[in-house]
Amino acid sequence: MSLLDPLSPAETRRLRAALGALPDLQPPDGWRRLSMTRHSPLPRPARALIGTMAIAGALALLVLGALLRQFDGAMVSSASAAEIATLQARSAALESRLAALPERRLVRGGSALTTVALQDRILLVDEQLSDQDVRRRDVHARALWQERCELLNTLLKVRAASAADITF
Amino acid sequence: VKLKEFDLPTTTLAAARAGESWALEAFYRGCSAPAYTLIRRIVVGAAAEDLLHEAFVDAFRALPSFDGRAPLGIWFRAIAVRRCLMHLRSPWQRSRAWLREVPQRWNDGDGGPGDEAIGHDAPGAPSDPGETIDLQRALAGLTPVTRLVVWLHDVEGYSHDEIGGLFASTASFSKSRLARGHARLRAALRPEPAAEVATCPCSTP
Repeated sequence: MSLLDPLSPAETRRLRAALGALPDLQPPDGWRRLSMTRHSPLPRPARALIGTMAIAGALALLVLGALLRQFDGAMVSSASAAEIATLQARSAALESRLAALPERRLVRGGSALTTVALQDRILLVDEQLSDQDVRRRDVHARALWQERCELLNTLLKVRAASAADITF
Repeated sequence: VKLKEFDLPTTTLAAARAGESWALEAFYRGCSAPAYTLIRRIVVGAAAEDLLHEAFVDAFRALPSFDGRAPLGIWFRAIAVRRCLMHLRSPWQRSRAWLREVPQRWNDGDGGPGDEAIGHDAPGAPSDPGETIDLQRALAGLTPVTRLVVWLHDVEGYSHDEIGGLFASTASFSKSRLARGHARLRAALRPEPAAEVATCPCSTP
């Protein structure tokens, strides 16, 4: 029996039962740390600064909200489902091109770091796109899909340059 | 107590929403063990305690907006799972992932990385301690994403659609990961007792 063989229904049931029967693990008592985190007071100057910043931020948001409301209708109408579908198709095409690039086992350190950073940002965008609220709002979804395409495009350029680098 | 079944009495919940310390402590005392178990099964290593702490900090902040439509435990479980996902997606964790995925052979109790997830069992362990230990080691030997999929589906009762959604992916992604995880965990199961095998209708020609 190889690792790739699927489990029989009986084996699956047994496995689920065994997993479900694994004992609870006991954490160390973290209530003290938690209550200290909750009650840790900030020094007075910091509190004053935060208060001032909060008031300034709230005022700025109010002004921005009023301005945005004027343009809201136009923005929503422009962010149509068709635009999102186009961006999704572009994203899929870029992913296909990325998948077609040869994998190199040795890459320059700088390229590897850039690749990891870009992949992380793509993951963050994906996480936001998985949010139901974001999916309902076309404007946000379109901006995220746009960002995803740009990140994939940059990643493609980095990977392509790395693949073409025969001197390393 | 299963995390998804945990709830607080109405008055305690109202006090917790208002930030009353005694009610928040009741929330913590009721949820911490099952939530820690969930986190520890998903995240191998000492980060579990910090993740539990951060999940409670998140929950205490968001508690005033908790609408009470689902049990408190289900709401908190989603927060804890989100914390685990953030941890697994962090650049540091992802750069270390290969360390955990390659050395299956270390999971033989010699102090390798797989052993970290064994943890300390609470009272009430199942009857076959050998199988329990093997299963915990096998679970710890899975890749983080596969482990998360197996645990959420088989123990927490998440659907494939829900798990796919967590990864901005499809149900097929969850199904393939689950099948891979099951195949790897099979070896940890003890053979069926002989009497049960004899009465199994599938063994007759």
